[in-house]
Amino acid sequence: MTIPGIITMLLSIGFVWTLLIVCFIRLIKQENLPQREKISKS
Amino acid sequence: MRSEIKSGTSLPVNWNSQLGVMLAVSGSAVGFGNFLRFPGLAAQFGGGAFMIAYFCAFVFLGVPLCWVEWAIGRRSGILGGHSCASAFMLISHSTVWKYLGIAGVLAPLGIGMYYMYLEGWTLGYCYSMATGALNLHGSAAFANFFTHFTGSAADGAAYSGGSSLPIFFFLAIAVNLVVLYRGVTKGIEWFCKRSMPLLLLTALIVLVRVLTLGTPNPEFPHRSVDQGLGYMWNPSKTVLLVEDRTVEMVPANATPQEKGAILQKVMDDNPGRDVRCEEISLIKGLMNPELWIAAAGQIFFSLSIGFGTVLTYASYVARRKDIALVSLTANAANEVVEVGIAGMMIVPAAVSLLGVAAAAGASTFGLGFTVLPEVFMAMPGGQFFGALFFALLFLAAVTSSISILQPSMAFLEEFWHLRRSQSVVVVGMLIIVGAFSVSWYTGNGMIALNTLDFWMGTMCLYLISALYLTLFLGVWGTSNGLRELSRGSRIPLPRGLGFVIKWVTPSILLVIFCSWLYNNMFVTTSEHILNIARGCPGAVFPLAWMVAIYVFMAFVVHTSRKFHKIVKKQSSPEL
Repeated sequence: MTIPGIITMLLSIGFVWTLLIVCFIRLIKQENLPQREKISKS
Repeated sequence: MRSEIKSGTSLPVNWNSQLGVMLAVSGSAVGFGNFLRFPGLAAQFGGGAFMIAYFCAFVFLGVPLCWVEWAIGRRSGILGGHSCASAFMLISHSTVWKYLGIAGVLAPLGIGMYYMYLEGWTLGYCYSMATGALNLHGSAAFANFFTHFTGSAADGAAYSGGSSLPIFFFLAIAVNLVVLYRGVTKGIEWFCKRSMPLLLLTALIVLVRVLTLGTPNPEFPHRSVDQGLGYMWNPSKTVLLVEDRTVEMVPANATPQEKGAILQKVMDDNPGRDVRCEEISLIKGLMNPELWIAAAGQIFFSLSIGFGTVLTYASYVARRKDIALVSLTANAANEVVEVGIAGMMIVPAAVSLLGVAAAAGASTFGLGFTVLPEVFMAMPGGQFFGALFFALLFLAAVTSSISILQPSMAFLEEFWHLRRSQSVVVVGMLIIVGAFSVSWYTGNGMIALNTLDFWMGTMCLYLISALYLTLFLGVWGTSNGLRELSRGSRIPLPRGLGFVIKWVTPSILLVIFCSWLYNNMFVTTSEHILNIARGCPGAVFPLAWMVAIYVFMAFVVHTSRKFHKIVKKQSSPEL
C-alpha cells in the first residue's frame, strides 16, 4: 500500500466516522433535552 | 417520550425516539450494496479518484435527495398520509399524482420479492458455514454449491434437486412478516434498535479478523492484507489485464525485474490470450466520466433513495422533531458501514487469500456467494467468521426488507382502513407469489431476479426520485419544502441548499439516468428488454404480476372514499 493510498483511506474513513460521531452526539443531546427540561421545571 | 400526531387519518403510531427512527432508516439503507457492490467499484476505479467522486455525489446528490424525501414524508405524515400515493395526493391536491405515487409503493414491493429470496441465500449460507457443509476445496466446488443451493441450473431446480433453500426462503419471509405484524414501534423500531448495534459489532469482529490475516499463504508472498488494501485504496496503481479482466496488480515498490517476472507469469498462465498492462492514476481517473457515473449511482442506490421507505418512515416523525439531523445521521451510519467497514474488509480478504483475480471484476453475487465463502474457508477460524459474516448479511438484508414492505402496509391501512393483521395477510400473499416466481425462474442467469432488479430496482427508482424532485420543486415549492425541513431543526441547513436541490441534484440525477438509459437502450439493447420481446416466462410472469398489483392498488386508491373525504377537509395549503 502506498502513502497516497494510506492517506486516501484515512481521509475517507475519518470523514465518515467523524460525521457519524458528531451527528450522533447531537442526536443523543436532543433526545435527552426534554428530560432535562422536565427536571429543571420540577 | 411518545408523541402522537393529531390528524384526520393518521394512525395512532409514532416513533418512540429519534434514535429509533435513525437506526431504522440506516438499517433500511445498509444492505447487500454496502458489503458487496461498493468495494468492487472502488477497487475497479482506483480508490482515490473514486472516493473524490463518491463524496461529491454524497454531498450534492445523496444528502439533498434524502432531505427532499424526508421533508415530503414528514409533511405527508402531518396531513395524515403514510405512503407515497397519499403523500403525493395530499401535497399536490391532484388526482393524477395519487396514481403516480402508487409507483412509490409498487417498486419497493417488487424489490422486496427478490430480497426475500436473497435473504434465504444468506440464511442458508450462514447455516451451511456453521455446520461445515461449505468445507469445500477449489473455486469450482464453491461455484457448484452455489448453483445447486440456489437452483440456478434450471427453472424450478431449487424445488426439485434436494436443495434446502425453500426452508430458509420461507423462514426469511416469516421473519419479515412477524416483524411487520408487530407494527412500527414494537416491530420495526424494536428490531432495528437491537439488530443495528449487533450488525456493527459483528462487522467489526470480522474486520479485525481480516486485518490481522497478514500474509496467510507463504507460497504467495505478494498476496497480503497490505496488497489488498493497496488494491482497494491506492489512487495510482498498475494492473495487468487478460482480455479486459484484471488478474494481477503490480506492487508499487516492485523492481523492474519483479514487474517483468509478474508479467511473464501472467502471460505463461494465459497462453495465446491478450495480456496488457494498465496504469490507473488519480488525474486519469477523475477525467473518466464512467467513474463519476458509477460513484453517483452507488450513492443513489446505497442510500435507498426512491424506495419510498424514507418517506414512509419520515411520516411517523412528530412535527417538531429534527428530521434534518436524523437524516444526516442515518446517511453517516450507512457510509460508515460502507466505507469504514466494508471498504476495509471484503477486497483485502479476497486479495490476501485468493489473489487480485478473485476479487477483481466479480459480480455482486459472485463476490458474495462464491468468492467470499472460499475466502472464509481458507482463513484460520473461517468457519466461525464465515457464519458470522452471513448472519451479518442476513441482518442487514432483513432491516432493509422490513422497510421496503412497510410502504405497502401503510398504503393498505390508510386507503382501505385495514387492520395491521389484515394488511400483513394481503402484503404477505402479494410477496409470496412474487418471491416464489423469483425463486422458481432461476434459469437463464437468474432471469426473474434480474428482471425485477432492472425494472423495479433500477428504472423505477430513477423515476420515483424524479417525481420527488418534481413535486418538491414544481408543485409544493422549494421554499415550502425547505421550511418543512428546517422545522424543529437545531442544525443549521447549508446556505446554498435551495440552489443545490433546484439545479445541481436534478442535473446529476438526469445525467446518471440518461447514461444508464443510453447504455441499456442504445449501446447494447438490454437483455431485459429482449427477454420481454421474446416472451420468456421468467421475465414476463414477474412483470405481469407487478402490473396486476398496480391495477389492484389503483383500484384501492379509487375506491377509498373515506380517505378522499379527509383529503377534501385538509385541502387548505397551510394546515
